[in-house]
Amino acid sequence: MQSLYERQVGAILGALGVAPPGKLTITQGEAVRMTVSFNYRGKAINVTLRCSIGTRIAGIFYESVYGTKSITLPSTSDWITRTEYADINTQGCSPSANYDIEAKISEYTSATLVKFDNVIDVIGAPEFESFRITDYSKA
Amino acid sequence: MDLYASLPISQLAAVGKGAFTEIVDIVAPSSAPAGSRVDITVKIKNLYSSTIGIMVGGALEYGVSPWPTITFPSPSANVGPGATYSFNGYFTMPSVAVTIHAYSYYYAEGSWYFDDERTKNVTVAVVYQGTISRKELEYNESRAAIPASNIPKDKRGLVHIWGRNDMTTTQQMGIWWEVKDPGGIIRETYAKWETFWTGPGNAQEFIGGRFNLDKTGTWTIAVQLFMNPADQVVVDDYYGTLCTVAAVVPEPEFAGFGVTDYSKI
Repeated sequence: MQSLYERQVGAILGALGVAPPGKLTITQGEAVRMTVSFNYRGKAINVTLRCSIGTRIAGIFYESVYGTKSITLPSTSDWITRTEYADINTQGCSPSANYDIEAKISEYTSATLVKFDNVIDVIGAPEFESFRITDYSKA
Repeated sequence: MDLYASLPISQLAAVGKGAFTEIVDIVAPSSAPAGSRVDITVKIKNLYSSTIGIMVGGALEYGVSPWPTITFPSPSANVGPGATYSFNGYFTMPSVAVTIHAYSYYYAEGSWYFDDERTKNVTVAVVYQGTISRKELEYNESRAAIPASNIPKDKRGLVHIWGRNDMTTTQQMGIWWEVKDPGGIIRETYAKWETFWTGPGNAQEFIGGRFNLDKTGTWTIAVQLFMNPADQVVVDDYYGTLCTVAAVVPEPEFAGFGVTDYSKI
């Protein structure tokens, strides 16, 4: 849960990021922005950044939700550095702790796939039950 | 004292040819292609002590009778004593060798009198005909027609030029070319006469030396195709782009790919 201070800073600066392998706690349905950076050289290409949240079991990543973003890279003989992000809708994530994440350029998975385990906790959306008036009295 | 120069003009007719004029030169090419216009100049000197009228005439000797005349648009002029006047004329070169026969006349007592003559031979020039029929740039294991485009930088270039003999006779052909890089620096100069001869309609390939295509931009080449080694004649040429060289773009490559952060938005 964010502190009041974190919320105030977040309101000023926008989204507050967590550097891996730090843990980010979200409420189910909140969007997560995953930011990546990389170096590139080669011909001009269009690729897809895919960022995922899921669960790794026995080395196999079971993707729960993901976000993508199309990226256009220019023709360059020299290395260039790019920073990109993809937003992930977490509505499909069941409330649970210790989700894993992955990010990659889909067309160049072997060269780009990165993964971190146990970095996102998803708590359930606010929920009320058995709300009723139990009594009323002079205060 | 010159006998003839001392005579009054009224007595010139009695003196005979060459007495008062002298054809000092016939300026004409030693050979000319059949059917071409041949420009000549007949230089006639006034040997007399005062100005006289001089006229030029001319004909072509080559077995045709009567001899075809040479055209002189302005065939006469008053020429001062001791002066040499140039009469310009022309004729169409026949298909055989000719002898230019030029005459000079002086004017006296209302008439023109023949005075001197001179000849000069003009042979039929062979019109050499050939074509740069093919141009290719080899770079490593590839080839492209010249002008080639987008050749990867740092390839090794090798020029191939074909010269075709367009004549009806066997000819020996020669080639010269010069390659310049985008900076205008000469990177290859090649010149060679073929060892043997090439038959009518056939082509001879010339292959230069290798050079590094180590600059991006437009490379140029100047090519001349020759015939007749004894008195070489350029029969075709090309001045233009050899190729454009582009920087080598490597295959797509990623490095340092990593998640920098994740956040709620």
